[in-house]
Amino acid sequence: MIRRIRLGLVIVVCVVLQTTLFTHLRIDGVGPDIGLVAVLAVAYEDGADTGAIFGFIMGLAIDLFLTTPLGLSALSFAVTGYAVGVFQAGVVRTTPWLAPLLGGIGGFFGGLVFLTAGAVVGQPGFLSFDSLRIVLIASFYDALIAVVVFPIVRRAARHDDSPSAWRVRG
Amino acid sequence: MVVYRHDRRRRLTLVLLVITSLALISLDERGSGLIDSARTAAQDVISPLQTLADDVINPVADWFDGLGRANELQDQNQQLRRQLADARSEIAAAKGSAARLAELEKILDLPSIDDSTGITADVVSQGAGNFTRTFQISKGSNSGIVKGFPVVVGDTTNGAALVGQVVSVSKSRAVVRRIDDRNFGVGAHLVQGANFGPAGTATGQPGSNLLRFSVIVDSATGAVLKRGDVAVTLGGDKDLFPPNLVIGSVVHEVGAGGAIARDAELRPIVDLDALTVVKVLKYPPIP
Repeated sequence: MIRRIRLGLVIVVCVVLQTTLFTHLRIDGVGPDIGLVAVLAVAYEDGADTGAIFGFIMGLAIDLFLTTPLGLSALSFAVTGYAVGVFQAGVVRTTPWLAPLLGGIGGFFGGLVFLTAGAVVGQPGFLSFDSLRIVLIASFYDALIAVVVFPIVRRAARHDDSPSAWRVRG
Repeated sequence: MVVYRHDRRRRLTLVLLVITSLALISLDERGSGLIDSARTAAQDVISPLQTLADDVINPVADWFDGLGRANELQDQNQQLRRQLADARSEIAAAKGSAARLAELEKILDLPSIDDSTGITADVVSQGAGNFTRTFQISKGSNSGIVKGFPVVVGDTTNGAALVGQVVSVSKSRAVVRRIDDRNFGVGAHLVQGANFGPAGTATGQPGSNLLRFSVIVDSATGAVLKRGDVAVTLGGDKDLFPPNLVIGSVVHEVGAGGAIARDAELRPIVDLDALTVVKVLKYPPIP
């Protein structure tokens, strides 16, 4: 139960940061997808099922603050969360490079899913070189912030009975 | 066997989520009141936290922004002084046309900016999305802002420049779609000297801060689109925007596939990345 509250807080914090801090901190006019990076961390920690569900909820929360159709981020985050969860099952060892690597590749994959789904539902100009440029910059940015976001979110996603989970001292 | 079942359940979860997402996208594309309400409710819940975060972040961001742009601002200042001198002479010429236009509007009983009152608001932040161009303002439905209202900068008596349109509203904030967003479009015509030139549409383009002006009126087949021509809103009885709001000026012609170039690119009159205060017009006027 407490884990769900923690993950709920992660969603709120990501939405607030995405709509405030990262509207200022942009590289060539492009911001990162902090919500997507959090989804990658949860999927890596807890597998494909949780990754997809958490991705869907996170995407939906972000969608409420965008002018693109509601459900577009939910779709791309859910698919990306699922894919990372499946990938995670095959990973034997964690390396220090895992967070930025997964942040970059996952961010790029999520961006491509977003663009493809957007183009399919009729969003103008989604299949263009400029959109690809945006996705590339955003995924680079995702790789950078993943270094900070991954450890925090993975810890928040740990099950309450896990030895390294956060606990309230009584 | 167990592994196989688990895999199937996992895939089923994903398929259900994808179907739900597609259903939501389809619902939103058709314009659902339910989704609009959900957006408003979510913005109402989060906006106190956003305000708190903005209060901390904005002064720091402004300071860094000012630091980085000091030299650029100096150059811009000199350039603006030159432009001001040019603009003064243009205003003198335009005054005659404006008087004539006002007379015509009175005769035809067309709705104008004067019929609507403005709500002044601060620009709180630029939009969060990478594929949309929006900004958030500090006032919402509590101040009388409604989805669809045009947003301008400048003096509505002497001429205002269109910068966007309200696309979603919460109690204390509103999101404005910028005129250079790929989903923005408005009826426009060019002002050429003392007369109106060809009419068409001004739309935002992906990957560019310039708008595309496309001539759509049949009578203007031989229309000449000159660099420096100013595009203003067409307006009309049932239009979403009042007439004569300045949109941008022609930068260059672009081929539209035909023998005669009938498209042009417009540069917005104001720097849309540097907006600080805007005016939301209550338009069309609410009776």
